Amino acid sequence: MSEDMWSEAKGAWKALMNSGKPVIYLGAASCGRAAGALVVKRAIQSELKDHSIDAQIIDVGCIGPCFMEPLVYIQLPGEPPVVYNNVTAADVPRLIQNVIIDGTHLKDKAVGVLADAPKMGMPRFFDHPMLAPQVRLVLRNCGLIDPTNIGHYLAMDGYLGLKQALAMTPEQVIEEVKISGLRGRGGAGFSAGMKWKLCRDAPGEMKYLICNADEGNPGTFVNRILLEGDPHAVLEGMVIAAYAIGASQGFIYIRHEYPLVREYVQKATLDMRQLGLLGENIMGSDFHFDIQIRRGALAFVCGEETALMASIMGHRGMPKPRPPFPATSGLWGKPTNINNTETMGTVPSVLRMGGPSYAKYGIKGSSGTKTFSLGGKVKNTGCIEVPLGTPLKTIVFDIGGGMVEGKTFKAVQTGGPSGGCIPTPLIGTGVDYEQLTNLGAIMGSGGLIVMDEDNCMVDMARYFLSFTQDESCGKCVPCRIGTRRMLDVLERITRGEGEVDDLLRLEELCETINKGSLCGLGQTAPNPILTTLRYFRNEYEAHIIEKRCPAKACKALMHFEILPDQCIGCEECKGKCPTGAITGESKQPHVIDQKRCTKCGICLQICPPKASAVAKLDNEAKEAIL
Amino acid sequence: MITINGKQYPFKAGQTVLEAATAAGVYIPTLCSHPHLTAFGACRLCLVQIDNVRGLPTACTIPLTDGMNIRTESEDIQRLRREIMLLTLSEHPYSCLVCKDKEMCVKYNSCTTKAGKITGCNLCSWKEGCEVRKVVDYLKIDEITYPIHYHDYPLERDEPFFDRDYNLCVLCGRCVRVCEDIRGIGAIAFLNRGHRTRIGTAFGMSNIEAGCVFCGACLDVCPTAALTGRATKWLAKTEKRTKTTCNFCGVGCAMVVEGRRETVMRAQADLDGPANKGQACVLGRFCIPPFFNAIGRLRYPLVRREGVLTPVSWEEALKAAANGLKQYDSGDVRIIISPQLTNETAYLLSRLAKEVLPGSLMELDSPFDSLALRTSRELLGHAGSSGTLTAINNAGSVLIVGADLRLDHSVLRVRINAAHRRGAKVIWLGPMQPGEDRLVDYHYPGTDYLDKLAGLLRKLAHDAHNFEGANEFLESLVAFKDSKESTELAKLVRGKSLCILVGKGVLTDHPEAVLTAAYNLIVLTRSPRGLILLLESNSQGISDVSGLPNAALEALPAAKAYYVTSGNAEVPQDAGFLVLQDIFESAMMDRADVVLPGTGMPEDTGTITSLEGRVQALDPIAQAPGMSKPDWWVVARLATQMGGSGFAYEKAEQVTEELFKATRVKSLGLIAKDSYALKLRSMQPINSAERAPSPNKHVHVHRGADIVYKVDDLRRLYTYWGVVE
Amino acid sequence: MKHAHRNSCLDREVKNCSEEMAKRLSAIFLKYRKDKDDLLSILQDIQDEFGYLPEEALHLLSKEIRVPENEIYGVATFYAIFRFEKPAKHRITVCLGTACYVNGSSKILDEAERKLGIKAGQTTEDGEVSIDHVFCNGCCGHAPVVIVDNVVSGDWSPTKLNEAIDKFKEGSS
Repeated sequence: MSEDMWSEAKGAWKALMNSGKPVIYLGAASCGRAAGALVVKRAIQSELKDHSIDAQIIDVGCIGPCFMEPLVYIQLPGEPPVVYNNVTAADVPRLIQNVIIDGTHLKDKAVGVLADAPKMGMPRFFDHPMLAPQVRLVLRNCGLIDPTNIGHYLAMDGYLGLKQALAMTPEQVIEEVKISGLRGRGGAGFSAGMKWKLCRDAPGEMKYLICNADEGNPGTFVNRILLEGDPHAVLEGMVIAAYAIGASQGFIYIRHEYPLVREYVQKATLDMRQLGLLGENIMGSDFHFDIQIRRGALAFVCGEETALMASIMGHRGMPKPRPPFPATSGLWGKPTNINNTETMGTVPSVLRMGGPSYAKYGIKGSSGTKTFSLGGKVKNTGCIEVPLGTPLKTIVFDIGGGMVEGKTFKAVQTGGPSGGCIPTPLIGTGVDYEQLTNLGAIMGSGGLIVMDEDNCMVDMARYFLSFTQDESCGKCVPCRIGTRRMLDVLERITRGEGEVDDLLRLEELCETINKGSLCGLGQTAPNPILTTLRYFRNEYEAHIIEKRCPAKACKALMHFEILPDQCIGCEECKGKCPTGAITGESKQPHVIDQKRCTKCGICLQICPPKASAVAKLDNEAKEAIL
Repeated sequence: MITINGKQYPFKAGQTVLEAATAAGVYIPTLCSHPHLTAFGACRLCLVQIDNVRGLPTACTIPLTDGMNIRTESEDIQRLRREIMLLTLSEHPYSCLVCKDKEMCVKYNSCTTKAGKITGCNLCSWKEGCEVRKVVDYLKIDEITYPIHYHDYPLERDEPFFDRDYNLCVLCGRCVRVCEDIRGIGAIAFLNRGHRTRIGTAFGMSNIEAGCVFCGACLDVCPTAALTGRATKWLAKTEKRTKTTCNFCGVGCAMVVEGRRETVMRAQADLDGPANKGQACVLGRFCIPPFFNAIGRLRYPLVRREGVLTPVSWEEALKAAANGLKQYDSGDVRIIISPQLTNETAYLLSRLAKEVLPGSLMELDSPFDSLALRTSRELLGHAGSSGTLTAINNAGSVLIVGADLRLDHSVLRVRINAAHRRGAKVIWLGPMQPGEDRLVDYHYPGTDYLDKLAGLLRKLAHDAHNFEGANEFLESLVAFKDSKESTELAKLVRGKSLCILVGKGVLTDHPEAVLTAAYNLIVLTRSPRGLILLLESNSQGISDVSGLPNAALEALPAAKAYYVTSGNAEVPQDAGFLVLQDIFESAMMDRADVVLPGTGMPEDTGTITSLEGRVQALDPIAQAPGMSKPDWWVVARLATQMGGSGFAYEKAEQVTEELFKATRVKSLGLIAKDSYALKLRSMQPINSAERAPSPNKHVHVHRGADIVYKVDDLRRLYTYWGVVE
Repeated sequence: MKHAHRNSCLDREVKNCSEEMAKRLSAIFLKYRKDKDDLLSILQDIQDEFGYLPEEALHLLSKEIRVPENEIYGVATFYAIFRFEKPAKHRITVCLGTACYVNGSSKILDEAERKLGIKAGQTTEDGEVSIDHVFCNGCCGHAPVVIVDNVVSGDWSPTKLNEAIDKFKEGSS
């Protein structure tokens, strides 16, 4: 175990920064690939070959702004990398020609430079409105290093946190994490240091550590970004945590939908073992610890601690009542500590900068930073990191760039199916553990979905409940049957069959399910219904009493019509209608046959903006219930 | 001290709140918990309020701590329980539960329990036991606002013995837990998840295919009528019940039997049974009524007149029997005792043999039991196992030799499973049935039991030096060889407490030597209580009250007159006079001179002693058919008829009292084993020409009748298992 | 689960796998201890190898790790990933995660169901195309996301989906 490891790595990194040949970085995380990054890569490779250019291509993780993907940064010798957004295969020849061959920077495609200050007439990439307000501690390396190259991580002071930890006693490490105020980033928000202490104090020689990378909350992908961009941060955190609690065997439970994460973590652990950072005698100490990778199998409930452990032990993922808590009796009855991916990923920073320094970020009671995945109807979608306490307003309108296409903000959903919808009047609330809970929502693991006037809040409640029903393990009555009964009610309401007593029924059921359920999935399942009832009760009432959907989203309560005054008779919608429901001659107003219409919305999407002839209308008002 | 609802109770460590409340007599509703099963926490009815504990934890899972202050009832808790129960009911056909007319309906609906689908209580056959009703009554639910969501699962009616209607299932999971955790079988499991969760088998296969052994444990823990035994459901309601002991094998399972008028209708395991602890096997659980009520029961005393067996009065029959036997020298009379006879009957038979027919010989109609009891008397100083069944629970390794636990002594599998879960190694010598393999860590299929055990002894021999008789013992081992298996076995067995169960399979391979080897093993491993003989029914009791067996069966000379208590006994063709006392018609009737109809277990009063030496009572629920009389009565009257004195008993209890005083049998409880010095016994050199008595080829002969051929569903099961054609 | 309960116990099918399957399964079993703990990983490997969980494979697995088939089946049916029938030639999975749903992905699923005449979780009669849904694939920045034959991509619409389905049909004719 040598100091050379770091100096060697830093040397290599420096050589890369000062490379004599062009270096092309490609944002190749799963989101980048979904946007077409690999197609772009093949095009780049082909183009380079055609021009006999010797350049280095490095796959990096996601740097955050998914809406800009595919992202390509090109570093010419002697210059900092320049970031190009939304690069398609068609753009590649132009890109290579202009940037590499001609040496000019393709300004119309460039977002900024990866440098400390504006350069070469281009702004700093990190000064982009989406990135500027962010404080990137956990995500500091994501998108900047090759996640499969441990050398890059070492060059960024990787594993210095572990080195620091091994020089302390486990108790001192726990104290440091306590002082930092780091709270579980998976949603429960329990003090990480306290959790470690409970496990450390539990009697027994054999202890386990689990990193929960199940990230089941729909709409949340922050753990994926971290693991695909900087897996070693999480793994280093795991080794430190294992040292602190005295565990000798660890598991990282990666959800099935993240195959790239598995691949990267597999490579990372191999590299760690080679360098003595995992396995026996870590860094030459007498601390032994190794990590096994476990794959999730499409069960959201396995994000719950006891269900996760059941899954690792080869059982059905059915949670168990607590106490006993995992810290005293977990895997195979042994003390087990489970932490979320982001919590683990934060630990090396805490050790490197020291607990008090970390505690300076964020606000009292919720110190530090948190990653969020911003999605829905905002312009700037992607993964961000802000200090805890940052107002939702800042996130949605500054970082998120506001609503798309001139839509109006209606609500932002936080915390997934365990969370709630925050309406406009409350958008000044800061994101932290307490403030959001007071509103009836939760921060959760970091999903933020923005909704506009086209989203029906009753339908959103129904949606979350259908998710819960799909994912409920089925063990306990309140969740298995209670959420089914609630879903029955909500489905009736969205079908226009709501009854006057339904809101009372829903509220009663919410209480029963919240108080009676065995685990967090059931206990928090009512939250989306409760928050939408609290803040959007008028929508429920419209559905039930007027049989009307204010957002015109519920299919049973709305229909599409072509406004004859605006239709230009271009026949576009007629051609694309999948059921042939639209008739009409060229240059004559078209008509939708309501009996054949499936309300898929293709005609609305297709209709040329200058015509905007397709309208969503309420169905004929039924007799109001007296 | 802990506080429950304001009252103080003592604190007992290791309990859950539910256990503490139950012990204190405080009722907390529950559907998924059961005293014998691990806590599950699914029904959510046992929610309680505890100071300093967040929310409403489930009493069944939360460990008790000293000083806890618990509230089991409050308006909030009751309301929540009610709501949860309503949800449960919304998926269980609850019609009638809260119907205002249900009392009228009950009066006139006795036949509607035979309907097909159960859509409400009035069509359900298990109202008395239904725990859902109990909870509904306690919570005073009088209105259910949810419509019934009926799952419409197909009714499973084609399996042996019991029906499954999962439309009534409340997913408490008790059946899965008892089948997997207690029985170690796992024939059913939770399938799917969420709202589609149900209990079932892999790929929808039948329960027989899934490995179910039809022990009925799931039935006994099911809180609803999802699992119901078929016999009583379709026949009639039972009127009375009592506790008795199953006599089909030597385990001695305490049972609760129910009857109607003079017939036994149903048997269930007694939760408090000391040997079986609420568990039973397919024979005891389901075969008692169909067997003892089957066609072919003997009803009348019969005497052969002019070549034809003719019904006569008891007086005539007894006279004929007495006179017939008295024609011969006592020394030429053989009394064959069926292992199923009670202690009382056996005691009186031995008195008859000694006092009325001095010189007559008795034999126990079970080759293995005779041999095992005789050999153990030589080795241990008393005939029988060396310890009780707790030897299995405490064992570090369990060695099963020549047994078939699926067919015989099945309930022992439950204890072996418990030991296995606690880390005991289970080693099986001999051919193994499918299904046993889960339980067994090491399987040696050959029937060369002696070689294996002797080889093992050779390996352990170096542990022998501080035992008495070590030198001769070590010398005698020279004749046996080492093998790879014996090395493995030695590694498994050394240093741990051992329990050996020896079954009748060893009859094919020098059984006396095998038993000697087994004895030596418990000596060497310092597990004196570890030798369990898998005896039949009441062989142990018969041995205790009569001193049987005295000699090897093969060594007994042929007799001329026979007094036989089982139609299955081996009686030579040239026997002069044959008195048959049995309960079923059998082929032997063709040769019998006198046939005396006796009683079976549900009709008997008396005691039997299990293979671990536990004396338990038989209390009758039924009346034997026709003119049948209790066996002890027949023997007593016969003895009197033959001139014996002191046989004028009026009640079985009188016989019981006497035999407790006169014989080794002690009052209810375990026999205190005579202390015996642990002395190694030399292993005899093997004479391969030695004839091994042929093992009893029948599967389950209960006196004259093979149970399999009297109970259709059992035959179906055994056909599938390949045990019968 | 689609398996109807078979009441007959007389015609028990012998569930032995072919030699080839047994060989491939041994290779998988060798990687693990003969233990119940690794059950989920083994099941995942079996599905990776065969594309689904064959009944014979689970039968053999049951003997290998000494866990009853019923329990294995119970574990397998709990996790949505496992299939018990051969997969379709083309598999369409529509993401119904919150971001995708908010961006109208349920309309894409509805259209796919209508066009192919099957519901999510089913396969067309000719075994060509199957539809399914997933509750979040983690690419929310590119909502709505659809996974076609294991390739994840974003910015879908009902129109785009119809075009993709048409392409399958063209490909097979």
